[in-house]
Amino acid sequence: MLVKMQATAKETAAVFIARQINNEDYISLGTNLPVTAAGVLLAQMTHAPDAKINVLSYFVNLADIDSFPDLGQVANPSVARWADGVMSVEQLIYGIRRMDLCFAGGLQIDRYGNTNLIGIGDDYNNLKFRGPGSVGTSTVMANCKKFFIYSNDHSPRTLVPSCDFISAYGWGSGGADSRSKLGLPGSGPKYVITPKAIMDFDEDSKHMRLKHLLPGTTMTDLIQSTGFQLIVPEQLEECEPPSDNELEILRLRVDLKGYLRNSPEN
Amino acid sequence: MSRQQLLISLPEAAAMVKDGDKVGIGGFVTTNKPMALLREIMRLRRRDLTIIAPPSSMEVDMLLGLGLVEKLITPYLGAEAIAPLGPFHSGWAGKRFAVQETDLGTLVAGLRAHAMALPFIPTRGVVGTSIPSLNPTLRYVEDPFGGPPLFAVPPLEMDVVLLHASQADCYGNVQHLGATFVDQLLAQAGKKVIVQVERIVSSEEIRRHSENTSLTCEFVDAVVLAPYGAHPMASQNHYRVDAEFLKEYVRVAKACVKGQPGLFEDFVTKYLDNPGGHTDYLSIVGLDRLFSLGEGV
Repeated sequence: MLVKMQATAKETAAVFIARQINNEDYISLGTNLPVTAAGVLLAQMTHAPDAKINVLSYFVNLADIDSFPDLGQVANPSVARWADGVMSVEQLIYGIRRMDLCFAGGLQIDRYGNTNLIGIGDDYNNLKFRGPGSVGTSTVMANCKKFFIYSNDHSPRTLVPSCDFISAYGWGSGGADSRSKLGLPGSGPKYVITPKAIMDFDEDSKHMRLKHLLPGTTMTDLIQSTGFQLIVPEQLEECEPPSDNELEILRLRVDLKGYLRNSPEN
Repeated sequence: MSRQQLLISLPEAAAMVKDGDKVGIGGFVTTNKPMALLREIMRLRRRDLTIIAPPSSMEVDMLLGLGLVEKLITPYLGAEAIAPLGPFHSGWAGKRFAVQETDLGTLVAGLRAHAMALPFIPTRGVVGTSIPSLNPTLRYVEDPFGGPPLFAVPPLEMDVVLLHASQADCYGNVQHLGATFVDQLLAQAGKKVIVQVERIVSSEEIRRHSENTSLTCEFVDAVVLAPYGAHPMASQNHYRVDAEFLKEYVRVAKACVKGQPGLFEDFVTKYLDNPGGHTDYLSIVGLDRLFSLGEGV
């Protein structure tokens, strides 16, 4: 029954993330975002049983588990039951250069992939909205090999021309050399993923570019939901839909509670 | 001469924290927070505190709500999925405390610099971000070897560090039996270190697996017995986060932001001021509720 239901946008996004993951990757699940966590878990349960997954400083392997109990509670010390080992957070930070893939979120995401978790407003001393803070994203996204940006909200409020503050540097004011000029070793943001679309960055300008529309979103809707002009390629490829096997694993082993199926807030 | 025993009571431990102190708080977001120690300190209304905390949650939010904080240094304040978008008791508009904007890598560099008595540790982590322009303690520094400039992170001092762990002996040898987060670095960098534990065990028990000792007594000044002392946060090996309790607090705090401080005041009276001590707090929360938080999802 579950498997007959068409893939939702979030499930399609999770499957997209899973397909970007290689078997030898070291991945940090820094946040409690069900879509990114689902993508990583799905990869582990299919083609990436050797991927090293770090959660809350535990190194876990979930390839053979029957099911993951709650995608909404990923950073929870009970992940210790699947841990091969644990390192201090300090040790993890010294080893960020080894991380192949990390995820950043943002109150704001701008057209060059810079993200803002600090706050909204012109005046730092009198913010309209105070964000949660940078967590580790400044240092992690500067140094890790690559990162994806994920947001549950795709609206002009979140996808802005320029961030009010930058907590994690993407491509600055644009340009393929913007990171190397600053000496930032990581290769920067590769994809921006929302429940409406998957975007990447133009190779030269590093301006955000549409890659795939996700199920349920039209081009008009996407353009109206984005606070700046996205580059839209002439030939837009469709996102390859999840296979039956991927959907089955996603629904029966990864996302038992249905965060990706029915909850617009997750 | 016999070995010095470091076991003291919660009130004695709280008395080690003075108005104006720089206080380091261990744990990570909603795990292993020294809540019993913090409740004691909040009950005493120790004020003008500088709070230095790795990713933090309700404990820091309450300190802010009570007006006890002069300066806040933390890379994160929230409760992940329970409150994904930031501080709940957002006294941030018109706030009366200073914020020293940071991220986790920068915080670790500052603590490490202090522990090693270095004037600074260079970081690349905040290059290109807004953090250096918001945090005047960070300074541009040239790379003497010719690379692009970096930022110098100066030492972060702490008068007292509060930690939560699984077990310790009465001499101050501590075992987390799981992730240590930033606790060991905080302990190396702090002037005084107080650790609350779920249980006190014998020296023999510690020595049976001395490889599990995460902080030897060299780094510990006082140990406090506080079973269920991390509640409502999770305590590794012992109990999960009390998500319903956190949700209740988030509701109360958000009402406060909307100009209804009554609920926050009631919460403070019920859980902070009325209980005569830690065991009293636990009975108000209720043993059935506490026992239901045992491991297993």
